[in-house]
Amino acid sequence: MRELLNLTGYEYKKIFQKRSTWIALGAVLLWVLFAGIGGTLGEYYIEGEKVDSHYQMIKQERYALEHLEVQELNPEFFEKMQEDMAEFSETMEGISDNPKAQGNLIQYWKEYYKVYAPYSALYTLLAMMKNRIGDLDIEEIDGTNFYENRDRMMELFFQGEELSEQEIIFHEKENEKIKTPYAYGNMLGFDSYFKMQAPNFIFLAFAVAVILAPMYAGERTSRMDALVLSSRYGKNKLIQAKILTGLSFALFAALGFSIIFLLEIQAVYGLSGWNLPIQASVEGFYLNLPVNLLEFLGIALGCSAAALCMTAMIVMFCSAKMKTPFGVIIICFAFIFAPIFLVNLAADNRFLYMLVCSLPTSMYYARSVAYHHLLSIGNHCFYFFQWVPAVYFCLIAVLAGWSYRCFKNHQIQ
Amino acid sequence: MELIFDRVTKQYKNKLAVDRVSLSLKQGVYGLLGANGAGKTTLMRMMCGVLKPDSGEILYDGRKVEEEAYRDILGYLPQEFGYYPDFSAMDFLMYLASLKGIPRKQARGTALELLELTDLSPVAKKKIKTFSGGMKQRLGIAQALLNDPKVLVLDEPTAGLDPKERVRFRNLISRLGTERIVLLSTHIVSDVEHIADVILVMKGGAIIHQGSFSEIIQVIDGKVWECTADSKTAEELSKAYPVLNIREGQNGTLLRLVCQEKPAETAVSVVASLEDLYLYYFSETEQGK
Ligand SMILES: Nc1ncnc2c1ncn2[C@@H]1O[C@H](COP(=O)(O)OP(=O)(O)O)[C@@H](O)[C@H]1O
Ligand SMILES: [Mg+2]
Repeated sequence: MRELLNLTGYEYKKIFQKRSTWIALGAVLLWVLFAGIGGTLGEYYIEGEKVDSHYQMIKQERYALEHLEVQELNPEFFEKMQEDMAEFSETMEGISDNPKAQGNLIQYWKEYYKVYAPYSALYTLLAMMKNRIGDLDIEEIDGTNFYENRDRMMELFFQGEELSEQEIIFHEKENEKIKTPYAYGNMLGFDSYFKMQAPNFIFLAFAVAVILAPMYAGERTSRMDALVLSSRYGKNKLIQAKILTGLSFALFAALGFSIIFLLEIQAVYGLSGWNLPIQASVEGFYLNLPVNLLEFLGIALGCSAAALCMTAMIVMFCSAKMKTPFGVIIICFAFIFAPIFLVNLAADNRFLYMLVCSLPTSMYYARSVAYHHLLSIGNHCFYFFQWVPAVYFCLIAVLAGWSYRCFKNHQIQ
Repeated sequence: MELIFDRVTKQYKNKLAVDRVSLSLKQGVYGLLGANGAGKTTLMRMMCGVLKPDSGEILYDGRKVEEEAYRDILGYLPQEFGYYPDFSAMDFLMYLASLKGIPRKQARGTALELLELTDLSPVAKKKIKTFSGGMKQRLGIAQALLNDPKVLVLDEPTAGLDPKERVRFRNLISRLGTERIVLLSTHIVSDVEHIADVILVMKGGAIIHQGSFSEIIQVIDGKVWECTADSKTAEELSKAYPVLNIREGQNGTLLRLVCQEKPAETAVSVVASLEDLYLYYFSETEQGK
């Protein structure tokens, strides 16, 4: 065990002595920093006139959501919303045509946004609802029909996605477990985390591919293979150490960058709404999973970490099979990219669709890990986040064994 | 302590690199002598378990060379070996010590000793990428000795060493040979002439000769001649017999050649050296290149 950890330490040393490692990690860090604060940069314009900075708007919205009078989406909430918004019957875009705004657009906008801020996020949900249902007047949604309409929206989804009877029943049961009316508050932080998780992790996956590609192939190109393989632990503990290094690196990277990102999010948007149901957020509005935002964060992050480990294992496997790290990087980049294109092509075939959605890159999308399609085994239905990590676990074991054999039997010619 | 090769064969696509080699190595220094392409490296790779023979097997005291227990007592200097460019010499030795399962504390001491032995102490903390060829080679020799191996395999260990380093190396090897099997390959005769207990002559993938210096030299003993001839005779002679050396002298061309009986009136028999033997065997190959 001690030797294994010792060798693992050396594998880390090899990784961190490469400049490419630092460049890759630096690039991810820059991206993550940008992803967190990117939304606060820039200004909001109405017809070419700057009315406010994005940062100011976010601050205002956050404050409003954290100080709501009514903290659940009940009839009272909707009534208050309609009352508040009554005096500003125009949409935001139409503001400049309002006679009151003539000459003092900025002042008028500020008044308007002050009232609108607490409802901005909810309007997004209502717009999503309208998108799906079609003939729906957003103005008419209130505390009495909001939940009915959501049920209708979900039904339409299920029809469109050709879900099976069993899946629909499962989802209906899940839906019943969600406490209505939904608690409401500041879900902004979680929403932006979920939205940016996929780009962050895709970036990180590329970095992991670059960093781990030389794992085995590098021994070959640096011609250390003869020395390494003829040493006592070269054909057993060293390979175990390499696998341990790759997987732990992926895990640490996933957690490390997520923590950095969450700290940023907390600073900008706030994570105070952790106990809201995910249905109160944009990312969770289409889902039926009865969990709160914090629980869902755990699920999404867990899936992403598992997917990154899976990616790492695939990188290492290619590295054990292929001659040069460069080839490994090319293959793995293609592998990371592919699902983004494939998901639309596979939409018509349920099996292919499930397959594409279970690829690591798909698992970085928070929404898709709890999406409507379920894997049913006997009487049980499983969400992606339940069955995919289990499959990954098995695949990682298989690939680990395979790459182990590959490197062990590597012939020096 | 016995290493047995049993009809070991390795073929690359259309090239038979090692051809049914059967050998038995016991304690002592073995010099594997052969021209480039003779199959020395291939043979050594197989005995270090990094290349599988197509057929035949190699056993150490009845154990297969694929086993960890064998690698534990093996020291190997590959002909071409790499290094991690940003590791220092000390890092490199400490890393290989970990790979060889030597506890850290003990490894430090051994590594320092070996750096001293190979004259690398002053550069112990320098990155390997700044090393010259000879320094890398010495570092390679040092790493092979880390685990005090019972079987020490050195593939062209003197490549890149200067004459002074060569002498030091030879002395080191003859000392090491007293308690282990040392096999070193070379195409330079003087490397093994005096230190090898047994010389193995390899050609075309086969061991064509083995024995002590005095044994194998018998093949051409009494058959090496030197004579001085005019240029026309010299040309005829060099066509007829394997020529070991040729030099233009004042009274004609001085020839050293191998021949069963006296090749010319003026020829005198001289004492054969291992170099003569080598040239005798490999002259065709050398010319072919
Ligand atoms: N990887 C390889 N592929 C094909 N032929 C090879 C390979 N390695 C060695 N050979 C051939 O096998 C023969 C023996 O090579 P080698 O063992 O390196 O000889 P030596 O070490 O004595 O110079 C040579 O003719 C060489 O061309
Ligand atoms: Mg060679």
